[in-house]
Amino acid sequence: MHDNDEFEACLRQFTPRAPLPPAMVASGRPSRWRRIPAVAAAVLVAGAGVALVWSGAPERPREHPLAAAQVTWGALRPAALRGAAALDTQLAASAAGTLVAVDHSGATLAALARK
Amino acid sequence: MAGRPLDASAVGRFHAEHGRTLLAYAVSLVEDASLAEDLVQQVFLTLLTGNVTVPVPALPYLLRAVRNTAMNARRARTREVALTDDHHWLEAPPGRAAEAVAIERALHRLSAEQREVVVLRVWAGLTYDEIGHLCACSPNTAASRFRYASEHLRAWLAPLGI
Repeated sequence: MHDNDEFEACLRQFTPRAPLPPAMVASGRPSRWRRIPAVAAAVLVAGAGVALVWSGAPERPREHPLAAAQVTWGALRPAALRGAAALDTQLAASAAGTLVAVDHSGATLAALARK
Repeated sequence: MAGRPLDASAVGRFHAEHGRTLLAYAVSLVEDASLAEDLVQQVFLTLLTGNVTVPVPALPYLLRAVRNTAMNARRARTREVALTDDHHWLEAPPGRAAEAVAIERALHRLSAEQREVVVLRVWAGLTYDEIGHLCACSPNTAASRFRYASEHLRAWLAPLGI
């Protein structure tokens, strides 16, 4: 039987993973953005192969702090950055409402704009 | 309490020093690793936009910022579409991935209040006084929540030798 200290130490062997670094956010300089009312989303494509997508309620637009662009504010979904493989699924899931998507090439942005 | 103006390097240091803890805390609050990461990013983004003075030490302030952001997110989530959330938030030592998953699942079986205290105690390293201050409860209540949570976790994780 562990005592409390031992149990805490045991749990601490498992480390929370790190979130994406803020530099990835800070370095985002959207080269273009589009608002897609049908899915209540705004897409920001940053330089250096990084794309950020903001989604949320269309009635609450806020100024993007990095680009001074008016975007629809919602949740920045950095988890979507982790795998392009899940992108199609996420796009499909979001088609009926808010959107979570990201791409490294811009190809997905084009697909999105056609929706 | 002393404060200091923020620049990008300061935010970077906060991220390096406290990012993992903040993410774990966010997961404990919203039970969704993707949303939790959003919340942490939102906090860092707020820091980066300026007009923020972070007291020293920074961790309690950052934890409270995550907590407030999580509360706001809960209210707003009815607008969002549920997405598959298969992102694990605990990193395991080599060969112990199954145990990490078991710990995540066990934590999510706890009540929200107990889970919050466990994360603050184990991964944020807060004292019961500090936990009580953050969670608006007495230190004794925080200690009690942790004790009960530990009992549950030990029972659930014992078959895995944790």
